[in-house]
Order: sequence, then C-alpha cells, then structure tokens
Amino acid sequence: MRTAPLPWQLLAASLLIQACAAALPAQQLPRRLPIPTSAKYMASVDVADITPALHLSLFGHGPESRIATGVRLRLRCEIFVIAAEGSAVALVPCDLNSPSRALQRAVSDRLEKIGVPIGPEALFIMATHTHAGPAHYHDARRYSGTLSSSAPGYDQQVVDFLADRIAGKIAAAYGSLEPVCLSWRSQRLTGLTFNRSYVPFLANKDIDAVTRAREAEKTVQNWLAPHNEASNDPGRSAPALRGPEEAVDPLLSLLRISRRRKDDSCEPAPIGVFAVYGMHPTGVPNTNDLYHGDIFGFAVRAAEGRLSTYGDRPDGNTWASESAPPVDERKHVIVGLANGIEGDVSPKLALQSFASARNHGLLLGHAIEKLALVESATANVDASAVTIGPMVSQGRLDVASWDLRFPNADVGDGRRLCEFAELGVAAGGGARDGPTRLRVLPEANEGYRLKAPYGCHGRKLPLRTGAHDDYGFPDVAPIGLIRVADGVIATAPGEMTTVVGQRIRAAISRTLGTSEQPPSVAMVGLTNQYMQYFTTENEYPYQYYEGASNLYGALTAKFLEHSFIQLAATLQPPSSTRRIRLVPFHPKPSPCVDRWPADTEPSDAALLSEPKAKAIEADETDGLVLMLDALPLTFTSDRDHFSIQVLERVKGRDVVVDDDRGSSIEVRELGDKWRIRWLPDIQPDDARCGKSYKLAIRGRLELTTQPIKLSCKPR
Amino acid sequence: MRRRYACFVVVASWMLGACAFGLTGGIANTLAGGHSPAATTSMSFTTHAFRHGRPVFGFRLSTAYDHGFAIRSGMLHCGYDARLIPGWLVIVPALELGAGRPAVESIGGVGSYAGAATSLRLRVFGVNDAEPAYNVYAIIGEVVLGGRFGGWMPPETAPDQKNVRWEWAIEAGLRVAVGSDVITSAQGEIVDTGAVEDEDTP
Repeated sequence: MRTAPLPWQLLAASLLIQACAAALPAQQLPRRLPIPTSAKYMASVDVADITPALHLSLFGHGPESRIATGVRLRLRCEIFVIAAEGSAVALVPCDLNSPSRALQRAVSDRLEKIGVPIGPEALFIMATHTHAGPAHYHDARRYSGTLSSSAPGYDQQVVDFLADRIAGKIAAAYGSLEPVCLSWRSQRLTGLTFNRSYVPFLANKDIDAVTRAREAEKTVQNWLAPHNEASNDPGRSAPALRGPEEAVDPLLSLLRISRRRKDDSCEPAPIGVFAVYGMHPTGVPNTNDLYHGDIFGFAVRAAEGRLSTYGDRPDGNTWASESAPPVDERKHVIVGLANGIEGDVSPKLALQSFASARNHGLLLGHAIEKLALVESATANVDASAVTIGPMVSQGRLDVASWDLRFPNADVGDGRRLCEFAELGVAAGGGARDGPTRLRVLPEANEGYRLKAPYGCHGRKLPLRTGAHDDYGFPDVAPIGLIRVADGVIATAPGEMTTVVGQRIRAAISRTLGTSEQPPSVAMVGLTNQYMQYFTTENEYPYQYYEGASNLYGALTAKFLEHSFIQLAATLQPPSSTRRIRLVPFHPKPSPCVDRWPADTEPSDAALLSEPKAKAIEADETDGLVLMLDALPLTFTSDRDHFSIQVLERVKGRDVVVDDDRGSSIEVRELGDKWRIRWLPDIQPDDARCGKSYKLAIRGRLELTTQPIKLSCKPR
Repeated sequence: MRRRYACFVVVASWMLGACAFGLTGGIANTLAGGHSPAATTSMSFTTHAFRHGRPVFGFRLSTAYDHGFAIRSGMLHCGYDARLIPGWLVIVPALELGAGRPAVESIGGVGSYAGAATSLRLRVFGVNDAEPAYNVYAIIGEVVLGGRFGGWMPPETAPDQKNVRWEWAIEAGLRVAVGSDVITSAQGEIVDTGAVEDEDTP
C-alpha cells in the first residue's frame, strides 16, 4: 500500500512556518494552518536550546538556589509534534525545574499568532525537574517571592525568551511533519531509585507496591541501613531490592517514533523517542551554580549519542555516546525524557556530584537506548522483561485537557479541598537530597506536624511570610490525557507520590477499559503548571516533605483521581468529542524584576580590533582546560554567536569530535576570568588518552588553542 | 563554623522564645490630668506576646500638646497580655513606674510615678496569631483603648513634696506589632515513625 502524499497545504505551510518561526515574535498571521486529517500518524521531532543568559537565579532549592555563573549542560526542550485525524499535539519535555502556566500560555499565544493549530489544550510542557534551571518565570507569587530563590522575582524577559525558543521550534516541527510509525514499549527499571519517604509510604493500605516493599523487607533485613548508595547494577532482580527500592514506580515507558516509508513499512531506526521515567533527577548538590539538566540531561545525551550512531559506531568508540550530535542531522535521534511518578522517589547515589549524576544518567540513558532498539517482546533487557506494543502507522489521537480549579473543589464524595493553599513549614527545610539551611529550625524538618489537627490542613503547620496571600500559590492547573497508538499519556500539574500515581493510572485504565499492564498509561507529572506535591490521605498526616508540600490538603490526590476519571470518560466511545475546559488566565506575578542582563556585546568592528583573549591552556586530571583572562563576548544561548568545540587533527585537518551540545563541556565565569573545560567520561583503556586535542571558541569570535595532550592522569 | 552558627541560632531562639518577642510601636491620644485634664500624646514600645498570653514589658513616653511636644514623662511598663479572644482581643493589665512630671501640673522638678494601667487591644489587620502557622514574620495592627491611674511623688526639693499628685488618663490609639515564629515556642513536634491516628484523615 502506498503512502498517501502529504497534503499540498501542509507543504506550503511548512515553508511559511519556518520563516515565521525564525522571525518570532512576529506579526499576527491571518490564517490558521491546516491539520492533517488522515488517520495516518504524522510526527516531527526537534530540540530547542533554552539555555538563558547567565546571572539569573537557579530554581528548585529554595533559598539555597545559587546565581548561575556558567553552563555544565545546555538546557533544552525536546519537541514532539504528533498529528492525525484532525488533531495535533505537542509534547515538550524541558530542562526546567517546574512548569508555569504563564510560560505555557506564552508559548500558546505565540503559536496562535503564527497560525500553528496547537492550542493550550494540546500543548504539554513537561518539566524534567532539574534543580539547575532558571527561576523568574512562575506566575504564582510564592514561586517568585521570599525564600523562593537567592534572587527572587518574576522577569517577563525570561518568560519571553523561553516562550520564543519553544514556540519557534514547535512551529518548525509542525512545518516538518512527516509520515511515521509509533510504538509503545516499557520495562521495569529498578535499582536506580528508592523511596525517600518510606514511613509515610508504608501507611498506605491495600496497595501492591506496599505489599512488595514489605516482602522485600523480609527478604533483605537491613532495609533501615542507608539505602542511597550508588548502584552500578540497575538490573538487579527483584528479590535483592530492599523495601525503599521496591517502594517506587519502576516503569520506564517510551513512545518510539520512526519514519514510515512510501510502501507503508516502518524504518527500523527511530527518529525520536519520548520516554517517561520517575525520578527526582537531583544528582548534583544544591551548592551548584551552573545550568544543567542533571541526571536527565546526561541520560538523554547518552541515549541520543548511542541511538544516533547505531549501526555505524566504530568498535570501541563508546565515548561517542556522550558527544555532540552527528554532523548528519538526519541521523540525529532525539530523545525526550519526561518525569513520571517521582514525588517521593530519589536517585540512589552515594554522594551528590557531577560524576554521580553523569554515571546515573549513563545508566538511565543506556536503558532507554536498549529499550528503544529491542525488537522482540520476548527479549529481556537487563534481565527485566519488556513489553512492546505493536508498531502502528495509523490510529487514534485523542487529546483531553481540563483546567482544574483547586480551592474548595468537590473531590467527588461530598468532601472538599481546602479553600486556600498552604505550604507546610516542614517543606522549608528541603527534601533529604536537597536540604536547606533552614533545617536548623526544628519546624523545618520533615515529620514536623501539629500536635492536633487544625482546620482543613490538618496536621500541617503552614509556612508564611507576612499575611496570607490568596494568590501565593496557583489556584488553577490543568490535567491532560493524550491517547495515541494504543497508549495513553496522563499529565498532572505536580509531583505524584508513588501510590498516588499508581492509583491514578489504575483509575484511568479502569475507565478506559484498557489493561493496567504497561504500556497502557504513562503517567507524567510536572506538566503545564506547578501545584507541588500530591500525596495520599494516609501519607499526608506524616508531614514529610511531600505531605508538607501538598498545597490544598489531604484530599488533593483524591480530587485529582476523581478528575482524571471524569476526563477519561470523555475519551470513551460513544463520546468522540475532545473534552476541553479552559479557564481565562490573568496572572498577577509579583515582585517583577529585571534580572535579564543588558546586551553588552561588542560590535563586529570592536571584536576585530581588540586583541584576542589571553589564554592559558592546560591538561587536567580528567580533561582539558582553557583559562581566559576575559571573554570578549557575553555568554549567549545562541550558538551562532558563541559555542565551544573540541577538535582533533585527522589527516591534516581539524575534525570536530565534540561540542557544547554534548555532556562534556563546562563554561564557567570566575570573577573576571573564564574557564572552559572539556571533561570527557574517560573509560579504562580509553583510546583518547595520549592523543592531542584543541579547544576552540566559535561564533562571533574564533579562538583555538594549541594541541593539548589528554594524558588521563590517575586521580 | 556552620555548626556553631546553628547552635547560636537555636540557643538564641530558645532564650527569646521562652518569653516571646515582638516590637510594638504605638501612639495614643490621651486625656490626662487631675482636676483639669489636658490632651496629651504617648508613644510606647513594648514586647508583644505572639501566639500566647505572656508577660510583656516596655516603656512609654508622654508629652502634652501645649508644651510643644516636649517629653513630660517616661514610664517602664510591665504587664501581661491576656488573650480574651485569641487572635482578636487582648486585655493587658500592667504596672508602671516612671519619672518626669504630670501631664498638666508642675511639681517643681522631676518626680517619680507609680501606677496601674489596663488596655484593651482589638486586631484590625494583619496576622491572626491564633491560627497555627509558622510566620517568618508577622505584622499585626490593633486599635488600643486604655486607662491608667497613678500618683506622682514630687522631688524632695519641692515645697510640697509630701503631697502625692494623683493622675488618671484614658487613651485611644493604634498599635503595630511585628512578631516571628522563629523565636516562639513550638507549635508541634517531629514524628518520624509510627502510625498516625485514623481520625487525622478528613
């Protein structure tokens, strides 16, 4: 069977959109671009670089968040646009701590202006929960206020920057839609994570995960011993797991996207992988002052590197898995990793550090790569059985979205949520993998609770600065359901604990009449707005970090589950209409600040006339370093203006072997100086050791070091 | 270093939290005097019993309008914040000792004062400290109605130094208090193991 030709309108629209996207923000265009109406799936993938200017505050560790002085991993959003049957949806995992409705609507507004038919109901911005992304883009005042970061405030320029970048790439992806095949697959991936709030978790009743954890306790007696040691064996069989390691949702789900040929067959190699895994990706401590995507940032690069070089990777050249994208962009497989059921799930690390985050990211990335490439459902990946859905080229694409109003909401059984949001003081001290100095106060430690329940918030002791603020926290946040290729993606506007996520998944499966077995429902948190945590009624009274961060009281998860059931019912036949309930959005961010640095880049003439920066080159223990007395450019996210490359002399010419899109380049401002490092992941008997490389700045300024020998000195 | 810092914060919090703390600025229009009362103004700074009824102390300065706002007297104030309606209404019986001159009469120099005072405070804006919460800082505004009565002992050099001059006053004013839970006593406890009672579930 021949593939139907692309609608001519889409081809014409493609060029138009590409031009508009490049010119964002643009004048409003009078037309709305057509949506493919065929039942055949069309899709496109892309990457948006969202690394902002330096000197913004990082977000995620509250008052411990530092001011960004450099970049360890460029921040990015992966764009997955899928269309069929007159619907189009954009799935956008982003290296951000948390989503904000202001950002989501800003992206949506831009798309509307240039005629891309993806409205706010079909636009899903999913934060990976890195704690090393920028602050200043949240519309809720408490996320921009005292204690939110080391430099509080909402900056419209940050929102505009992020929205321009994301919307531009979504528009470009929409203009590049091509016929695809889709396939869901999943596996249990254990050993990378553990439940950091095990005591409240065990308070849940009649839950399989609790039963499994208790069984694991019987098998492995020392569960009370520290359980956050490093794991290099993520595929350990279940009986070896200890209770807290069993007390997580270990499901790694992914939607594999591959090109569809004209004869309707599917190409074997993917062009994109949308993956979901639940983990707080906090591999780096809160003393960090560099932008980076943390464990997930390393994971997607590891998976992309391996998938992009699949089939033509030279033997032994494993380090290529972390390097920059291949020169041939058609070979670039884009991997997006959305965060799943991770509210009480931390990474198993002996010590937080970049090395630990990288190691964990490699383990996760390699698991994604293997799962994406496995061909048979009978195969085992790391001793764990996988589930593979059929490769489909046509099918349903249903999108349902609902803006939920939380204050005083009916949870479905006559009970109501609290009228006002409150953050518990126990949250002020941070979670165990990101404690703040407020822990010197007894009240700011997890487990601190009122001696007797008081009002709607029960045992929670609210943390306040000054008087209560009605709009301190968000009051409206969306949930979403996307049914594609016999799988369902459910998005929640916050962080679900293990039991909450599993209950919602089961409820959706029951409502849709699908199997509860994977990959039927992939639960994604942290999407489109940030309501912090959702805990069960049993977990909430313990007031651990998650319970204290549950804003609208103990019934919030119940409300969420009830709402998901209602939303899922609209996807059931005979109902064929999409359920979309959007409420007007009028943010009142405060305090507004101007943190975005002024553009002080020198002119071209000045760059040419000024002497080149004085450079000091050196070989470090585990990489190369370039020290600059001054960088005659402001750091910019635009790689045409500023980028870093690693060059190797091959057959008389310099070949780029890595660049700052990979995971090995660090750029840091040190007072008046700049330090640029290449930090490759050196393996035993690494072929690179002993070879010479050059570090090069490219863009408006060109600066290349002399060859420096990579000696790989022992530590 | 960090440990020492932490210890200092904890110890300081405990010491101050034992009596609670809050800085109060107030200004009151006063009708004071013996047989012929006059309008005066007083300004007081006292501690504030945040969340709990507790002893409070402070001082008060009084002036008389027709003396160009010259300070006529200064009082040490020691009382007790009794919470009639927690978070809303407080009554403060207090004793005062001071020095200076009566609001109206002259007593031939600087005399000493002893008396009793009572004030009634109604919260009109700001934080309701009867609600459990951990306020990093809290601002409370109150309307104050008060009365006091006491006697002035003239200086020894005064010709009629044995005649105590009685003085009374009624006051109406505004009061602004700043409090913080960083230095108040605990409202809860850390429970990290064990079951939570079923009645906790709403």
